[in-house]
Amino acid sequence: MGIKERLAEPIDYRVGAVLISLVLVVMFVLYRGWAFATGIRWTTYQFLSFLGLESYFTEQASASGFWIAVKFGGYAVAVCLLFFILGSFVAAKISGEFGIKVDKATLPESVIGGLLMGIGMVFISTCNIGTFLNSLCQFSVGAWLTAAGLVVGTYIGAKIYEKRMG
Amino acid sequence: MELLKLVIGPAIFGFILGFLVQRSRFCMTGAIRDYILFGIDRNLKMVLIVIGICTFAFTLILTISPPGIDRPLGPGTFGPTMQPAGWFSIVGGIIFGIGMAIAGGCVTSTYSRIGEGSINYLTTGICMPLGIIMGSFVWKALVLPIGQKTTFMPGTGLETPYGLIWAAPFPSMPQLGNALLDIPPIFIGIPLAAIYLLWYYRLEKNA
Repeated sequence: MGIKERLAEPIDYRVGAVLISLVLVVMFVLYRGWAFATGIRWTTYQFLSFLGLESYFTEQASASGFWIAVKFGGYAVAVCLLFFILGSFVAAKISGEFGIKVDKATLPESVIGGLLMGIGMVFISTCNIGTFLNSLCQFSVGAWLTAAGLVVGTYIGAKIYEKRMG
Repeated sequence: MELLKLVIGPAIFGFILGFLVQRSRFCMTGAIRDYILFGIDRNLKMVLIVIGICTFAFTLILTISPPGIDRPLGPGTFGPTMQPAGWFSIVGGIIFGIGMAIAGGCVTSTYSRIGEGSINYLTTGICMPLGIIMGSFVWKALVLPIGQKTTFMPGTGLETPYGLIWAAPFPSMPQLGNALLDIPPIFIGIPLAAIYLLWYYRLEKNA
């Protein structure tokens, strides 16, 4: 079996989990814990700067205190996020799973879900990855509170989704 | 060096993680949702393995790393990741949780599926920054007026306005403020990692 065929094989969940953990540990030592929210916020800030609205935005956002950090250090996370998408693209391409797919029936859910995740991100100042796979592993108080909220929220959201989908 | 720190390093980690997440179908939303609604525990087992290994490794690194040493590629020194804590953590968690369950994927799987070519997840990815803009208005209009009247853990010396605390779990991480536990991080890391991995073992055994 060639390298390409081997890479195209699905990874067993246990092997996948151990490999992801190893990457996260190396990443924690060399670079920083895994989280994407800073990158998304940085991108948002750049977009608003492009429109010339950043001063208005920072005035609104800086009131939250921990928003000031967005301007700094978000660049590297945005690069990480971009290459994360590229890594998934390559994986999907070589395994033949890539394809432009649209499910028009669930597009409203995609919009509402994305908006709610964005609003939540302002409150918790990270994403679910930063909470579960980074702060929670360091016994952070914020992560435990956020994790409790995430479990409750996912339960409520799943019930809403189940009801809508019948 | 700046190029290595800001572009090459993050790019390599991002690419490897993107590849692994796509190939192993790692999903945090799926872990919680599938287990609660359908009793499917594949993703939950994955999350438990990752959290178990990382809890042990991270607390060990925080215990043995000398203070004041910079990470080779990263911003700042070896220290815990800062995450604000307060009542808004729970509220934000619930909002985020509802969002990711409705969208059908957390931040990771959303961006992974964008790589697979899904327009739905691309829509979610585009709406996230819009949500952040909306969220900053919600924060100012709603949270700040409430926050100024609340404190978290009053009387402990950890309280601050807005119910925000910057409490370090361990004394070896003084850069965050006051410490909650006067023990080395690994003392908490070992039992916690054991609980996660034992939970995984039980799920695996009952399968």
